[in-house]
Amino acid sequence: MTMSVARGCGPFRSSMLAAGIAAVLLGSTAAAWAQERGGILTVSQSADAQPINILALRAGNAPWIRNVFETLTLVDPQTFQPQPVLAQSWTLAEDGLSMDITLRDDVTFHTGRPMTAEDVKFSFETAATPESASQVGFIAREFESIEVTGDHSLTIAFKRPLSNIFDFFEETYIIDRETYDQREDGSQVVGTGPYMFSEWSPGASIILKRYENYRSTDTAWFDEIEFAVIPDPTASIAALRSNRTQITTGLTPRDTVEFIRNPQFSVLETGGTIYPLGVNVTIPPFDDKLVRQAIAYAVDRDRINDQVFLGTGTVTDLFWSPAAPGYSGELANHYTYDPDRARELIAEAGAEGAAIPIIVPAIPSQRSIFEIVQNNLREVGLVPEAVVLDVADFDQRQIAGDLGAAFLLLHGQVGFSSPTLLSSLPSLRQGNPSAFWNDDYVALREAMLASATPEALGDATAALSEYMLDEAFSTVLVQAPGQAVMSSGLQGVVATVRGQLVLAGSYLE
Amino acid sequence: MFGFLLRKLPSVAMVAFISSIIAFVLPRLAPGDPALTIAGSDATPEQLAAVRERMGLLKPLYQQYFDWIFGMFRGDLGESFIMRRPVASVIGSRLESTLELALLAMLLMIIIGLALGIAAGSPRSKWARAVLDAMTTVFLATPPFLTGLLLILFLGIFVPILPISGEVGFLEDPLLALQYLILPAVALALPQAAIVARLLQTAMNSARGEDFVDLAKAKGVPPGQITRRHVLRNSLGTAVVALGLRAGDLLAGAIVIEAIFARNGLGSLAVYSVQSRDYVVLQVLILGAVVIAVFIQLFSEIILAALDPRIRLEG
Repeated sequence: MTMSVARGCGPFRSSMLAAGIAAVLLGSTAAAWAQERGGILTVSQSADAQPINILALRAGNAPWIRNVFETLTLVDPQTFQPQPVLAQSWTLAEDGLSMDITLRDDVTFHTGRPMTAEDVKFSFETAATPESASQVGFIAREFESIEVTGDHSLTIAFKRPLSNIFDFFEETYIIDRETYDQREDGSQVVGTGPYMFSEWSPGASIILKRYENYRSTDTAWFDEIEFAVIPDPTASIAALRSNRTQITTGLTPRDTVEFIRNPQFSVLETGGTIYPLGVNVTIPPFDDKLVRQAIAYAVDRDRINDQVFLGTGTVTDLFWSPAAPGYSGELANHYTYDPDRARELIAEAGAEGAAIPIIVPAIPSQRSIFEIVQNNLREVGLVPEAVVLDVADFDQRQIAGDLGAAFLLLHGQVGFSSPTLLSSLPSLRQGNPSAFWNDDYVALREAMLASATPEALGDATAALSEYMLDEAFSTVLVQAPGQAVMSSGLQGVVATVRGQLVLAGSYLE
Repeated sequence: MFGFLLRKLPSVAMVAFISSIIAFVLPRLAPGDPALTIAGSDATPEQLAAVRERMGLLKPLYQQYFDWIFGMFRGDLGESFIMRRPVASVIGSRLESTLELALLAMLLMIIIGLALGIAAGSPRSKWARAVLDAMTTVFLATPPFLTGLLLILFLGIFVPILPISGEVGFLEDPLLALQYLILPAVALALPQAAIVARLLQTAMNSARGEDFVDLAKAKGVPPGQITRRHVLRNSLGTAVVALGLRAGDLLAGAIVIEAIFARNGLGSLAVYSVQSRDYVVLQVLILGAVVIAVFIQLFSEIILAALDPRIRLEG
């Protein structure tokens, strides 16, 4: 396998070898060689599958989807470098405005049909449509054209350099254009992965069976993987403890704490969620920047991390991943807990005693965060009060960008690059509930989106971060990982940076 | 009896019609819609609008209602917005689980309720009565979810003798299915059985003070026979009414019990449909629950008439 790219380093560099992807996609392959095939692995998940949403990030799809579908590339969770999966190589043009991609020629769909560049084109074009609900579909809308140059090669022309192209590759599964229309009821969910989507009992279970004609035989050790949909955390824990399931996903840190020191189980981090506190800059007193900054100083993030997430989260003021170019400790800790400074700023703004209604979705973690925020804001002379909304109501208002004066949000998009987050996060994109959108912000965003090298991206990210921190329209409180609990005898389970489980290399000791 | 059922038909049809309107409107009053579930919380307004249009949610409400009602007359209950499958097939796949649970729980409710009620309503020593009263009170005061959790803890984790998560179909493996059913059915049945027992006990105590019991005693009828033939028979009407009413509560309790024991019945389907705003599934479930409740009440009236010759079936 060969590959070449024009860019030098960072996410643009692909000087890696195929071994990398083997480690990521297939788990502990070397160890698994000693394993025999057979058996059934049972995983519990709290949300049901959504076969209709193959191209969108969904909690109910995360545990199983990457075992059925594959993408062109996959980021190595250790190095954060894109590794080839269905793509064999890629070459980015010097001007960053086009990319030549060569695909593997030994890939077949579960129907037996060989995968070609036409399927890749179809997948990318489908992701660009609003109906696909893809979080990265906006990247595909920046494609000027997709030209199929051979059975296994294509060229994509961009309207402008896309530093987040690998986010798109990684989150856009290659779908079978012949059966895609029949996926909605789960009857034809056809991918190219080591397991086939065999059966879906809505709200109850998903069953995957090994794809015997997969291009590699050193993988997919279990004959079958069952994903049991168990929304109740108590029932999930009971299923794990009684060995009905070997992996449980969708638990909170409070649920997993009992397993952390138990040698019979191990805990795996899977993706994560960003928890910001946003304010609407057009509603008093938040039309005054000093009040917004005061709130950022007033909130005790360490306490939130310790009490709500039991110390599993990362306390940071930034939306970006700590591995992102331009992320620095100085920026991440711009606002430290300083109630005295907060009181000074509030006094300077003349906002003492201001009533602050905070919209909170009816989710336990958000309510717990609110309790701490409420206490912190009272300490500095503000009068916060909770307005708890049903999750559907909250989501609807979040999409419409209509959440009132202040609000606690959560975004399960940890792992995306900074340029992607900028456009995909409801807190930051155009029409955000903070109603924050001005020429300076747009210019800094554009600079970040147009960055063609990691260095330029780092500089642009730092500049935008400084501006956002100064404006304080949306204050990140903590980034907390998702967690999966596994029976200790289970080996080779891998989670991608976005939290999908890769189970092809897993086996029971 | 057929005349009785025939006379009840118009009122049953009226209840079903009004219920269909309520079942259709009620879920739509809650914020959100199924398009929101599909589009996701971080969708853009454009994505949400595109999904809404594709799902047909932009049709006028009256048109959606009549489509559903006329479809039902043709035997088509509609198609789930979220699962994209016929509602009949979705409900059919869950029916066996809930029926098995509800039937076993009903059986246990009848056996335990009648046994406890008759035992407590018969002449007993002071200590035996105290023990029976205590049992009834504990069962009465412990909600199904707590009983379920305690059973999971003691019989599933500390002393793992019975499965506590999942299910096996009765038709697939009856013995294994029964093992999976016992704990949830017991958890579901105990509080309801205690209610039946308490009502039966009270009715029996009351009947024991009637003149015909004194007359039987004076005639030298043995105490056991008095209890069976005079006291119990005249008290069972109360128990039957209670059993009919409790059957509805069993279905409601099944929602919680199914969640705790990770069973995939109609209760968990109802919860899932509420959360995902799957209107079509939800409205069929609501309407179905009303129709079942109506039939259980009709059945109770028929049983009451059979038990007590003074009661006539009237429309």
